[in-house]
Amino acid sequence: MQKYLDDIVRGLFRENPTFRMLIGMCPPLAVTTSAVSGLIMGLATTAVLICSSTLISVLKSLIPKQVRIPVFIVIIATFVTMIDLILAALVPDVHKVLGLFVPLIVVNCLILGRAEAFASRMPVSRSITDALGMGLGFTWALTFIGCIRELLGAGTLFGATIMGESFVNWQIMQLPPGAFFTMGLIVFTLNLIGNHRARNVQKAARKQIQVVGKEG
Amino acid sequence: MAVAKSKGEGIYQLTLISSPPPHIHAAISVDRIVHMTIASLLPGVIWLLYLFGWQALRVMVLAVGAAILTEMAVMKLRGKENTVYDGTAVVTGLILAFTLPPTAPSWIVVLGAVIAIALGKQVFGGTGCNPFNPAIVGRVFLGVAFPTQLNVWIGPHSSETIASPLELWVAGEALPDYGEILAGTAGSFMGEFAFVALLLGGLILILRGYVDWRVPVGLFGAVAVFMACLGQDPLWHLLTGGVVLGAFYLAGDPVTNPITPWGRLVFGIGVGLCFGIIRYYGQDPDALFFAILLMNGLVPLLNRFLRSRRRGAAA
Repeated sequence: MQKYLDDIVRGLFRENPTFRMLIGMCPPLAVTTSAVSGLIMGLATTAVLICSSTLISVLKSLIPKQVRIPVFIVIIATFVTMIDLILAALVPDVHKVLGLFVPLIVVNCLILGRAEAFASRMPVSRSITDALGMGLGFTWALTFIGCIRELLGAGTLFGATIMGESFVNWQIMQLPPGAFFTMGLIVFTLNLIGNHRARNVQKAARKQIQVVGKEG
Repeated sequence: MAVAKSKGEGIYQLTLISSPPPHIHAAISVDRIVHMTIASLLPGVIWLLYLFGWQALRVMVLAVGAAILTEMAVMKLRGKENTVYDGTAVVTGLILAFTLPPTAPSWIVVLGAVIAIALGKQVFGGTGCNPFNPAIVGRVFLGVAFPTQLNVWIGPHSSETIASPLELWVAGEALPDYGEILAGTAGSFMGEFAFVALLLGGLILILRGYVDWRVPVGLFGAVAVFMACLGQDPLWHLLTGGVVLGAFYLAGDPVTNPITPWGRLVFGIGVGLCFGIIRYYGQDPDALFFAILLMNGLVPLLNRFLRSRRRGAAA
């Protein structure tokens, strides 16, 4: 049980695909002008990731090693096409905003990366939890970037006006440079926290060694 | 090879001087360059205070103050020795103020200075490590984020809004003549009003050898030739658009220049050409800043391909 929980939590924070591993960087930069489009994009990717990871894990003993990448891509592309059509039917407005980036989930290296590194070597159950953790980590990252860019760039959050009348929209946050600034600053902050923690762990370890040394 | 010791977490850090050999030790220090740069900006400061009074003073004080405070705060956060006394933050703040109009809202000025120092300079490692001119990073951020708030120009000694020379030129209306531009009655951001004072300050920097003459000469030459080829009056385009501020203080910033003489000449010409293209075809009021930012990004490439030939090495 602990293993499955670990798989999920790992994707959310410690190995967050967007903020820690920096893979699949195109959607976080391109479609996060608002929180909603970030959320939908994240969920669409999660759905594709779970489906493709499951199927690849099921079929892993049948896929010849030499042609595994094309096979993975075909499986991923199948699910992306399905998701694309489902989004177009359910949320046509958001689908229009996301545009080309939904079909482009096929080439999101997060999905192929998990297929190659995890699903093709692990049992089905763990592939699902890993895909779930990675997908949710991706989703919250996209939504978070979208929130910041929407709040500063348009003064709204999930479409609701948050900032007062006198707030001046930071137009740059709705433009591509805003995505890079936001992304960079978030990664910077997370690394700062990570380094601080690592240093504390190191300090604690050193203290323990000293204590042990004295006792010995 | 110069080795400087600094207190970097118990390990001595190597500080390498980035210029092609041979090296000679001179009595030039960062402090002295910075003090001279501030001194050379003073005629411009006085001239702008005379033209715009309190408005100009407000922008300058806010920009410099925010730059100093940001520098101190970030140095504290990074756990580094506080180097705010070398004055580079003052220069960045002051030059940022020169790139803004006197009407710029106070909070926008402060935000620009914070971004210039924090994101333009300190994230790259502080003084001397920034690939882009910090003041331009701040200015471009503001220019892209708040175009409607910033592109409001006022004339000297009044609060009446005027059209900038660029806007008059785009609209095909009567252009201000040389006399009006030199007298500071036509312009857009503050640096554009202070042609004579900035030219004076820039010449001081060149005579003292703190700015390589190749950068401004390449820049002025490229702008003049480009505009002349398009059938424009080259002198008018040199006098407007803040070209003089850009040539000496923004593009001339030694930190963000290529290290070889040829590289600097090409750098200056590149800035001039980009400026001409963006201003002529794009009619963008921020052309100068985008041009310099673009060429700053190409500096590593220029350093790589325009190396000085080694003496005695086979050709």
